[in-house]
Order: sequence, then C-alpha cells, then structure tokens
Amino acid sequence: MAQKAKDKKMLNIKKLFHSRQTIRGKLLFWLLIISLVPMAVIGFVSYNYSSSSLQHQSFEQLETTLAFQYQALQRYFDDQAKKLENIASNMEVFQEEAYTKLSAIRALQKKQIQDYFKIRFEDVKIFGQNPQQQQAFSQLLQNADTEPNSEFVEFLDEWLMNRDFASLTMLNQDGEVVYSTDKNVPRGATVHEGTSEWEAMQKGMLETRFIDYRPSSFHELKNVAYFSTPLFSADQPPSLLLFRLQDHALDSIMKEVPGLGETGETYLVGMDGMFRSNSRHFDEPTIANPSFLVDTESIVYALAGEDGETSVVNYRGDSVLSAYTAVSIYGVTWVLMVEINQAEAVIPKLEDGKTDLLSQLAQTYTFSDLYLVAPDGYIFASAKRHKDYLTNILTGPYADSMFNKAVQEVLETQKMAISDYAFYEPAGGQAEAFMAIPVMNDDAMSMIVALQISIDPINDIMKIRQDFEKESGQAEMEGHVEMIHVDTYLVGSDKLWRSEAFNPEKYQAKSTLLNPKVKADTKAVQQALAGKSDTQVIVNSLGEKALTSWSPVRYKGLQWALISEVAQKEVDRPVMQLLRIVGLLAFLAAIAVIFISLRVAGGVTKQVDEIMQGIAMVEKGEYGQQVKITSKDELGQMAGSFNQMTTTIHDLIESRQQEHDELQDSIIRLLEEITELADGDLSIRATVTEDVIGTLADSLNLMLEELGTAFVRIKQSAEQVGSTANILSASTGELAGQNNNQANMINEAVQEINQLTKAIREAADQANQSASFSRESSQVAGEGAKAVRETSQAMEAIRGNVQNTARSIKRLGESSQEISDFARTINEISDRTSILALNASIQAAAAGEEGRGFAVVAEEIQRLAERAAVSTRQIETLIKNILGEITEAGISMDSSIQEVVQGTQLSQNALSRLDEITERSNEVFELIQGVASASQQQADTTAILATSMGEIGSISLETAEEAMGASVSMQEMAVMGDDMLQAVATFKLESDKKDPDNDVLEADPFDA
Amino acid sequence: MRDKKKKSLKGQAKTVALSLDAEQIKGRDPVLLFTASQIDEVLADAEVHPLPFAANHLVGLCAWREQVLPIIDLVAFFDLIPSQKDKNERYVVVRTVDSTLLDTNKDNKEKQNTNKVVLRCVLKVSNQIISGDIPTECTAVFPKQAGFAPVFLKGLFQGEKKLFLLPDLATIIHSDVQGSTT
Repeated sequence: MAQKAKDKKMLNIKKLFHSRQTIRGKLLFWLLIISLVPMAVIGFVSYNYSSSSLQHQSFEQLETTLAFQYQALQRYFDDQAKKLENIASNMEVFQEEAYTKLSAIRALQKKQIQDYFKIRFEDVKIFGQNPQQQQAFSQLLQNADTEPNSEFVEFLDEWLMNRDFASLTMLNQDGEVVYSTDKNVPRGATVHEGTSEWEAMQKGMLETRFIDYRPSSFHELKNVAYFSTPLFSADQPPSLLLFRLQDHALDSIMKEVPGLGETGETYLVGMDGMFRSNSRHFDEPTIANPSFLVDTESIVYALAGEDGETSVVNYRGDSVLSAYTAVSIYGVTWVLMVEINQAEAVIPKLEDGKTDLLSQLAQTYTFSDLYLVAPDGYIFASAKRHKDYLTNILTGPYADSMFNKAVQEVLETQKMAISDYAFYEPAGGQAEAFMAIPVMNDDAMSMIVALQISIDPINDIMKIRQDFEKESGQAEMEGHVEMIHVDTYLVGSDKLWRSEAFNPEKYQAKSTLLNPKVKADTKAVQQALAGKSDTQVIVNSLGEKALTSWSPVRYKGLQWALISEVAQKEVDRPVMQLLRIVGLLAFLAAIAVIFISLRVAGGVTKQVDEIMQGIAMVEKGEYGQQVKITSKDELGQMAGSFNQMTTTIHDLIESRQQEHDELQDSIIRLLEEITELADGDLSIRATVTEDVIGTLADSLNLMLEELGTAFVRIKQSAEQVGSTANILSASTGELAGQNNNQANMINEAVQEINQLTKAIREAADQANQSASFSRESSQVAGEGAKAVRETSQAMEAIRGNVQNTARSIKRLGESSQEISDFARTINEISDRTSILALNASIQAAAAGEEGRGFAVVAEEIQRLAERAAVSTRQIETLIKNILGEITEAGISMDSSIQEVVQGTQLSQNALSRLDEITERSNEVFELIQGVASASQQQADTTAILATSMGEIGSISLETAEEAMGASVSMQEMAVMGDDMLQAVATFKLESDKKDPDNDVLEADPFDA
Repeated sequence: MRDKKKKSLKGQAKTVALSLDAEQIKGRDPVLLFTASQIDEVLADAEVHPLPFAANHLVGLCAWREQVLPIIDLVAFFDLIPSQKDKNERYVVVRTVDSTLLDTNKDNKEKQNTNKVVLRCVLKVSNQIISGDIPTECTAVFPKQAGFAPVFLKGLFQGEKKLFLLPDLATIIHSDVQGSTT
C-alpha cells in the first residue's frame, strides 16, 4: 500500500512537470517564473552595469597612463634635440673661431711670400745690371771655351746660396748654354721648346721675369722655376741669366706656422695643380712633384680671384677647414691654402690633454655616442670611436644603417633629423636611434653633429605602467592579491616593437624589441600609425580581447604607435565572481520555491477533487449524494453550496411531476369537445377549468361566438349582390349598340385620308427626279475636274522628268570634269616622266660609253612621255567640247522646264474653275433633295393619320364587344350570389336556435 | 688579266641645251650650253624660298639633297628681255668647279696652294631642254658685241637659230654685280 501510495505520488509529481493543465503544475510554474525571472533580470543588469563601470574606469586609467607616457616621450626627445642643438651651436662657434684664425694666417703668409719674391726679384735684377757681372759674362760669351776665374765662381756660389738659388745658367740668344754653375748642365746644351728655359727666353730677353715651374731642358723629369734677367753688352748680342730657385726656398715660410696644431698646414699650389711648396706632412718633396696634385674646388675659386673659407676634403683625403687666396708673383698666380683638420678645429682637448670635448659631452649627457660627420658622409670625429669611426656612413660598411638615413635626411633638408631604432653593429648590435643636425657656414653645410640614442630611456618611460598597476590593478579576494597586468608598448611603422614587454614570455619570445616574431598588427596599431587615437575593446596580438587605448607618437621622422592594453578577462574578473554568487543564490531560491509551491498546491487540489466527484454523481442523476467538505476556505464553502444545490433540485423535480399528471386530464377533456365542434355544431361550448387548459377552453368559446356572427353577415351580403348584378347587365347591353355606330363613322374618315396620302406621294416622286438630274450634272462637273487634274499631274510628271534629265546632264558634266582632272594628272605624269627621261639621258651622257644602253632607254621613255602628253592634250580638247555641248543642253532643258511650269499653272486654274462648278451643282442637288424628303415626310404623316383613324375604329368595335361581355358577366354574378346563400344555409348557428324562421333579407344595393 | 682599252671619248661629248625664257638676241633664241656632266638634275618641282634684299637675279634658295642651293635667273643676271610667251619654267641643278687659293699672298708664288671646290647652283630656265651632241656648225661671237660682260662667259657662239651661251657659273656665283655691259 505504502509503495503504491509512493508510486502514485511519483506519478503525480511527474504529471506535474509533464502537464500544465493541473493547478499544481500551473502554480509551480508561475511561482518559479515570478521568483526566478526578477532574480535573473537583477543579476543581468547588475552584471552589465558593474562590467561597464569597471570597463569605463579601466579606459580612463589607460588613457591617463597613455597621456603621461606620451608626454614623457615628447619631453625626452625634445630634451635630446635641445642638447644636440646646443652641441651644434658650440661646434659652429669653434668653427668660426678656426676660420678666423686661418684667415689671419693666410693674410700673414701671403704677405711673407710676396715680400720674399720681391726681394729675390730685386736681387736678380741688380745682379744683371751690375757692370762687373756683365763684363765677366761677356767674356764668356766671346770665347766659348773660356772658364770663369775661381774667385768669380766662389762669389757666384756664395751669392746664390745666400739667396736660395740652386744655380745660375747663362744662355746666349740662340738658346745655348754658355755657362752654368750646375755641373749637370753642360756647355753648349740647347734649350728645348716648351720648357721653363725656353719660356724664359721668350719672355725674359728684355726684362727680369719670374718663370713658373715647368719641365727643364737640362734636368730630366724635373720641374724648375727661374728668375731670369737679360744681360746686355755693347758689343755682344744680349744673353739671358737664369737663376734656378731652390726647392726648399719657401720652407721656412710655409712649414713652420704656429697656431695650426698638429694637423694644420699651409701650402702653395700652381695653376697646374702641383705644389709650389713642400708639405709638412711628407718627407718627400712635394714641390712641383706630379705625384702630389691638388684639385679641390677652393683652388678654382682662388684662381678666379676669390678669397674664402670652406670645409673641404684635402689632397690627403682629410676633412679640413680651409682658407684660400691667390698670390700673384710677377705675372704668375699661385694659390695659398691654409688648412686644419676639422676635428682638431672644432673639438678642443680638455685640460688633461687626453679627453676631448666630444667624449666629455657624451659622458655628461649619457649618449651612446656622439659624432661629427663631414658633408660627404665621412665620420671624422666620434666620442666612443667604435668601428664606425673614420668610415663613410653614406658609402661605407654601415651605409644601410639608420645612421645613414638620418645623415641623408639632414643633407637633403638641412634640418634636424631623427631616425628610428634599429640594431646597430658598431654599438654591439644594440638597438640604437640617431639624431643629427647640420652645422652651417654661410649657408653651406660644413658638418653634421649626430648623437646615438639607446633604447633604455624608452624602456624606462614604458615602465610607468607599474604605477598604474599599483594604483588600480589590485583586487583582494579571499586573502590573495590579484594583479591586473597592463601592457604599454611602442610599435613602429614596420609593426615591430620599439620597447620591451613587461612579460616577454607571454609573447613566446625572450625579447620583444624589434623582434619580427612578435609583430603587432592589430587594429590599435594600424589606427595609431594612421594618426588616430581611441580607446576600445579590440583583439590584441595574442588573439584575446583587451581594453586598449592607443595614440600616435610623431616626432620629426619618427612614426610610432603607443599602445596601452589590459586583457578583458582580467578586468571582468570581479564581475564574474559576482555573477557566480548571484547564480548560486538563484539556484537555492529555485529549490525553495519548488518545495513551497508543491506544498501549497497539494492543499488546494484535494477539495477540488471532492467537488469533481460530486459533479460526476449529479451527471449520473444521483441528486441525493453529498460532497465531503475537507477545508474551511473558499473551496470548502463551495462544497457546502454544492450540497444545498443538489437537495433543492431533488425537491423541485418531485413537485413538477405531480402538476404534469393534472394537466394531462384537462387536455383529454378538451379534445372530446373539439371533436363535436368539427361535426358542424357551432353552438357547442368548451369546459373552462383553472389550469392552463381552462384558459384555452375559454378562448375557444370566444372564437365560436365570433364565427357565428360572421356567418350571419355573409348571408345578408350574398342576397344584395344578386339583385345588383341583374341591373348592371341591362345597362351594358345598351352601351354596346352605341359603340358600333361610332366605328362605322371612323372608317369613312380613314378612306378620305388615304386619298390625300396618295396625292402627296406623287409630288415627292417628282421632286426626287429633279434631285437625280441635279446629281448627274454635279457628277459631270466632277469628271471634268478629274480630267483637268490628271492633265496637271501629267504635266508635273513631265517637269520631273525634264529635271531629272537636267540633273543627269549636270552629272555628266561633272564626270567630264573629273575626266579632265584625270587627264591633267596624266599630263603631269607624262611631264614628270619626260623630266625623268631627260635626267636619265643626261646621266647616261655623263657616263659615256657605259651609259649608251641606258641613254637608249631614256630616249624611249621620253618618246612615250611625249605621246602621252599629246594624247592627254587631245582628250582635254574633246572634254572641253563635250562640256560646251552639255552646257547648251542644260540651258535648253531649263527653258523646257519653264514652259512646263507655265502649262501646269494654266491647268491648275482650269481645275479650280471646275471645282467651283461642282460645288454649285452639289448645292442645287441638296436643295432639291430637301424638297423631296419634305414631301415624303408629308405623305408618311398622312399615312400614319389614316392608320390611326383605322385603329380608333377597331377600338370602338372592341369596346362594344366588351360591353356586351360585361353584361353577360353580370348575369353570371347574380347566379353565383344565389349559390352562396345556399351554401351558408347548411351551418347551424346559435341565432337559429333562438329564431328558426328568420328569412334572408334583400340587401340594399347602395349599402357599402 | 688584260687591261680594258679605254675608248677615246673625243668628239663624242654630250651636251645639254637649256633655253632661256627671253626675247631673241641678234635674231636668235638664247640657249645655255653645258656638258652633260655639269647637269646634276632637272627638278620636277622646286620649293623656292625667296631672300629679302637679295639681288634681282637671285630668285631665292631651295633645298636639294640635303644642300641649300641658290636659284639664279640668268635672264635677270644678263639683263635680257623676258619672253611674252606662256612661261613653263624649269629648275636645273648645275655644278661647276671653282679653284681657290689657300695663300692669300699672291706674290709668294712658291708657296701658292690651290684647291678645287665644286660649286652648285640652280638655274631657272624654260622647259625647252635638249640633250644632244656638241653643235659644231656655229661661229664664235665676242661677248661684248652681244651685250654680255666677258668675265661671266666662257664662250659665246651663234648658230642658225640659236645663240649658245657658255656661262662661267663660278664667277657668276661669286659676283655681286650684273653681267651685262649696259
């Protein structure tokens, strides 16, 4: 039993969830809904609100961090730029000072050189004019074999040595050596053309001259310079004295110049690019040495007469500051160059003598390195002197580095430039960026100052994110500190990182800096590189959703993206915990609701079941059953009311049964009385009782009374109708006779009208005949017009044909003209052929015997051309004749056309006249037509009149016949009234019972 | 190999006679006579580019085989009377050889060097151009008698109906005066 009860309960519970028709099920369902839905809504709203608030707060803090880092980056780069500008301006100042010094030295040296040569010039001049020297040399001239005495030779040697002359050579006017202090110059040796001796002879025979360095006639492969002076004597032809300048003559002036430091020097250069002095940097003499050539631009400027200062790469390949000027020496122009190495000029040594300014600046400002670069790309100074020192950054081994790019940009724009970070080998493969600025000298760039920037300051700036984490990233839960990790980083335009990540392992790399495996190509990076700033939830480079704030970082040439992001799941962690708590509470609430609803539903449904059972019994008809009352609530009250209802129904049924029996007896009695009534006895009356049937009997009795009264009235009326019918029959007989007379009179009238109609028809026929004659005349006029029209059309056709003929003739003329043009072309061709033949014959004649055959051909061609010309002339004549005749034909055609036009005009006039005749005929025809139709109408009208009269006659006859018929009907009506009286007499009335001998009275015919 | 014998061309030289569009001189039609080798081409059509401020006999310039040649009207040069007949003119390219001296110092005979230069010009003539043998039946005439400056003619011959002029083109080209004596 218990098991069964348990199973039953289980079944009920199952039903509860399967079927919603039970109260229990509905109650359970709606209670669950009412309790759980609000909880879900509250939970959902709370989640969204808290999630968005948290997100909003995170965004704000991300943006703040981003802004701070952006400012820090800007400040850093501005700071570096300012330092660089300061250094550059210092370099500029040093450079200016160096140029000033060089200019002063240049002026001083120029004066010294000019003074020196002036003195030598005077010495030579005086020597040549000295009578003793003249006499001594004259003797040599007279006798070629004579040797000068030893005293004279000694004197000469000393004189020459004191004046920096290497030798003295005497030439006669023929260019032969008469005497020379140089043993390598033999007597009798002749001067060669193009040598310095030869030039001396060309220029120096009249006055003292200075001869620039040239190849020598007497010293093979050597360039020499002379002072030359003529030697005149009374009895001898003039001769020439050549004083050769010592190679080291100017050393004392050029080599020892204070203030030029270790690398500075001064030197002279001739127009041929060769030295005119010895260099302090070479032991080998550079003077007039073709192995040492100077071809810098400053030589050209100086020879053009300009004095100037510039930075150049000198003959040794060094970047130097140079001051140049031209020095004129008795018609010879040399260039004086004063130079010092650029590095030595702008980078002074410090007091210790070991460290230079560049190194100190690099140390002070913690630059990775500090460079000075020449405009051609040569790194001539470096603080750290790594592998790139003294290389060319534009063409050297590091030409593909960012340093090169920065230097190139400075060269192009002449403004400060910055390059992006890249690994730089001279810096040990570290990531370095470069910032460079030009140093100008009079609108020309003299050098570039560049500094090398390490990545460390950038990483330091990016570490600002840790502060953010400390401020807002912590969330304590059950004693654990949850850190929200924010990544802030820089990305370059190549999508590579420009900073180190907080946790590179997250990106599966040891380092994120410039690592191609850790490319950041997200929406944030793309937008930031495009110049946009925003804060959104996007997918980051790890593929997870992240709250990201980004902004571009632009500094001169740098184009970076600054990204700050935090993973969404980390931000949402507290919200998720809240969601879990809410979920647990909702679950517990659901269980409680189910339990309570089951309990409540159970109590409600028991009473309802009892009531349902009671209703089932009532359906079967058992009204005596009472329902068990199990509760005292509304359902219990409902059960009590149900019991009362069933008791009342039972009593009511019994009383009704009794009333039914009584009623049935009354009905039987009434039926018996109605049977008697059906037999015709209208005097019978039904028994009236107190029930419903009594009412029915009473009504029946009333009906019988009314019916008796009606039958009496009918009887009286029938009698009246019989008498009236007899009187009417007599009257209608008389009416019929009068109608016949009327009909005879109408017939006579109709005959008269018919005769009138006939006369009118004859008049209409005559009018029709007139109309037909008129129509015929109109037709004839129309045919005449038609004939004239056809004539006009024929003439038009003739005119058209004539015009076509004229056109054909014109075309013929044009064709003839074309033929004439062709003939002209043929004529030209024959003309040209003739010329060709003429040329051919001329050429054949010039060729002589070999051209004879060709001459024959040419003659033949010429004959053919002449024949063609003759034929074309005949054709032209014929065509002219044809054209003349065509013109005449055209003229006659035109006159024919004119006559045709006139004929057409006349026929048009005749046509218009005929049209008028036709029109008038038509009008006459219409008038006659109108008269005929009017006559016809008159005839028709009289015919109709006759017909109408005939109908009137026939109607009168009909009327008479009908009157006769009515009389007959009246007689029949009288017969019917008699029949009705007989029919009524069969019913027995109550009045008959009272007076049985009462006869039927005659009705008054005027009674209504 | 046997050498080919060169036949003598003596007496077989061909000439070209170019008639001038001018009235008769001494009852004869003026005709220019050249050897066949002097005629380069008879032009079918020539594009004449007039020269402003040029002499009357210089009609203009024309382009011929990548050269620019002067066009000379010898009727105007010799101041002849132009013909009244219908003019059918032709242009003929004629060449001549001009000898020039390198050394302008003509006294220094030992060191004179001569160089021959080919000159060309275009002559404006009538369309009567006849190529044939040398007209042998004619007599020489002194140029001045016919009204020509001798320096401009290498020869002047009169035939039965024609007066043959042999012009010195080099002199005519270099000249800046007219060639008639009147």
